[in-house]
Amino acid sequence: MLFNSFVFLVFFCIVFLVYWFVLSNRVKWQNFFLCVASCVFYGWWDYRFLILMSLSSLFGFASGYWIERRKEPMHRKLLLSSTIAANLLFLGFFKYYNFFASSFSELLSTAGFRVDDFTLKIILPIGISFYTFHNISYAIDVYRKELKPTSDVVAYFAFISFFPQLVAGPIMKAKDFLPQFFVKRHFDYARAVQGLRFILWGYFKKIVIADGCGVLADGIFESYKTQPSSVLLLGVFYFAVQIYCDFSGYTDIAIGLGKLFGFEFTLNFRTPYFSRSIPEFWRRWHISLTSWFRDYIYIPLGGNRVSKIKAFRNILIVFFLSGLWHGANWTYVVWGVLYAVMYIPSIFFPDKEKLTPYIGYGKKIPSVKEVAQVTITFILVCIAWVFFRSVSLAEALHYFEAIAMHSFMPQSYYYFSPLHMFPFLVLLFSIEWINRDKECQLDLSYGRGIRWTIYLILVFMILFNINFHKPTEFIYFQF
Amino acid sequence: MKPLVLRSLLFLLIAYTISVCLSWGYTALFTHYKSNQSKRNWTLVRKGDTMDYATIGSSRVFHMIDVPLLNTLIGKKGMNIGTSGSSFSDNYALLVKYLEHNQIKSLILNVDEMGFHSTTGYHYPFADYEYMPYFFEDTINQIFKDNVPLWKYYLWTTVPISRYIEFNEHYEIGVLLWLNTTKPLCKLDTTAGTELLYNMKYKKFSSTDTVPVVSDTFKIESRDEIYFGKIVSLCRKKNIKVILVTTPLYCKGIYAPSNRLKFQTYIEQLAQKEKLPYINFYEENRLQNIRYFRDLTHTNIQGTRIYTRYLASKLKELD
Repeated sequence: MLFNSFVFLVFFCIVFLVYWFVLSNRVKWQNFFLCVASCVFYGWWDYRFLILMSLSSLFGFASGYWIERRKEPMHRKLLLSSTIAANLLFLGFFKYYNFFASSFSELLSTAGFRVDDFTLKIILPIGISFYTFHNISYAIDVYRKELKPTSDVVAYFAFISFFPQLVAGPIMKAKDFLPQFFVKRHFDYARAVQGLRFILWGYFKKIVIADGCGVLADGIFESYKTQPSSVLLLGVFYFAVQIYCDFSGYTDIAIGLGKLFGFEFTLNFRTPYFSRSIPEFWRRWHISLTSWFRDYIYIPLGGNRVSKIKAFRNILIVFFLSGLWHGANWTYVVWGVLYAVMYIPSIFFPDKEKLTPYIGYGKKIPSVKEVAQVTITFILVCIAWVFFRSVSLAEALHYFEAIAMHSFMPQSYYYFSPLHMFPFLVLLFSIEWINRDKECQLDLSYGRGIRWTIYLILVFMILFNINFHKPTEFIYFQF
Repeated sequence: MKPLVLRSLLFLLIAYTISVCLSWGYTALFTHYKSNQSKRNWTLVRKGDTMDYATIGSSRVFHMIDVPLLNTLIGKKGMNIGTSGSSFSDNYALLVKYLEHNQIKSLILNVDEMGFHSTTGYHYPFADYEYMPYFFEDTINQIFKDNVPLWKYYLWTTVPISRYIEFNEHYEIGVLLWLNTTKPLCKLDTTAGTELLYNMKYKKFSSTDTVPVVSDTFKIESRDEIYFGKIVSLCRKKNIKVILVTTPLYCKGIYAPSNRLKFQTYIEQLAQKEKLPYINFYEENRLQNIRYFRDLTHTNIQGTRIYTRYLASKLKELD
């Protein structure tokens, strides 16, 4: 079930009404109902995947219990390692088996060996990367004694399967999220309104911006061999906007839905394209994944409190894994490693001047230096996006080659000018700029009249761009 | 919860009021300005045609009657207003709108098995999305009521903007402005509304394709019968002569022979009852050759030209 489909609208209304009007003040029943609703939501794609998710959740639930029961540090560590390994094997089989199998056979073929194709026909279950990470997070938090293991299997299953964040995050840490399932939930007007703002902004980003830019970016990437370099550059720009609005749109809707059900999620994006450096970009982009890697991998490896070479190694490991997490393709690995390389200046030549919390802090317009920093960061991010968007490494390199070699100006524009998205982009980035210090970009501090006018404009923009007959999927579903 | 519900209701009320105004705006805009890039819209924007005849039906008219050639052969001026995948309801809606601003003396109406069993014969028998600006016109409104699910009909009536929202890809103001600024040429202007199928290669249907076939049971849908009758009545009212024609099929393909026979008897009886001339090319032997067909139900350019000649000679006989 997609957030941008009519069936979801009906589903949500039913779940919301039952949750607050029938099951109000009954936490256990609310949790049970959320489990059922999440199963319907997830099973809408393919009910068979429910079995996988349930088995994975049961294993996660049991592992917490086993780790807690053991007192000897060695045993606990062994159990944790086995739990993580089992989860990664499970994820690895569905997501990476074919990737490694084909890479291995290609390697052997290059070395002159004759090998048979040993890839398998495996369907990647939607959201597997997300719920596996939730399970791992639970085991680690229990191991670290930051969280008491729960004996309530329904609550645990609700934590893993909670439908707003099930298929594309944000990736919540168990210690932050699971306890929320045991607290009595009260309907809070301010939180609900904030939730609605998140939802509205999320839909605007997904339906108006991401889908609009996606059509243009897809068209340009598919025909890059014949496009002039100005259009190719626009293609990268559109993809950068598309992936941001697609993913952040999804998580904004998820956060908003969570708030409507009385839950708080980690913020996943904070105007990342206003970042002044690559490290700042990663503090603002996919925050939940970055902090997951930071807490569970980077810091245990020593973080930056080691020699500079080791700090770089740690960054490299994290970004390599982050790239691999995104997908079973070398393009994602290169994308990740590229960011590790971009991190080099901040590791070896750290800026002595401390960055302000955000661009234009305490001012209405940013300084020239900040504008230059943001521009350079955005260009670097766009270079990495070419790898992320391309089907293969060769295609990514050809795309760069085409940018460098093709003539700059187009001979003529086809059917519709690729610039027609610009008014929408101006609206997007203006609102983001105005509220760059706030959690929700639609948290406008104007009078009700202006606020409601903006909301109405956004609502109608969404309605006149939504595709009810064939809703477009979210990019991050494939991860 | 109460304040949220109340404010949401107020917000929805304002949004509804605006939506009604927007719907008026859309209707006014899209009634007068249309993209001429789809066949139905191309027909709907035509004004001031005075034709000796027009041909109407599904793609089996749109692609299979070469009107410029027919004009030359019979020495008359005609127009092809056939549209792909259209049932009699769709034909009726288009004819009503076409006759508001244009005149014809006779109508060549295609009648075939798919047309009288449109729910299985066509993927989308009534192209509702093309007629949204006319939704509240009495005649068109009745066609909507008869052809779309009732819940949708009432939704579009009570929340008028919803019909433009559902089909927003057909009602993009940006595209409309672009088309009205650049005014791109439409090929149909030079072919009197005909689009020939240039691809000569026969495309075989696979078992997974939805083939327009009524296999074992012979059934005539009452809605199609009613709208066939409405077309005939409209023409009588406007003194337009109706000629029924069945365009050829590649019969060796899929059609159950017993059904074909039953259907032809039905059409002949219908033509007699309505006192209309009927030209039957259903199983025209001279055309039962695979190289004249693009697929089971459509002739290619070669087949179309041969068929048009046969049709011309029959029309001359009728005159």
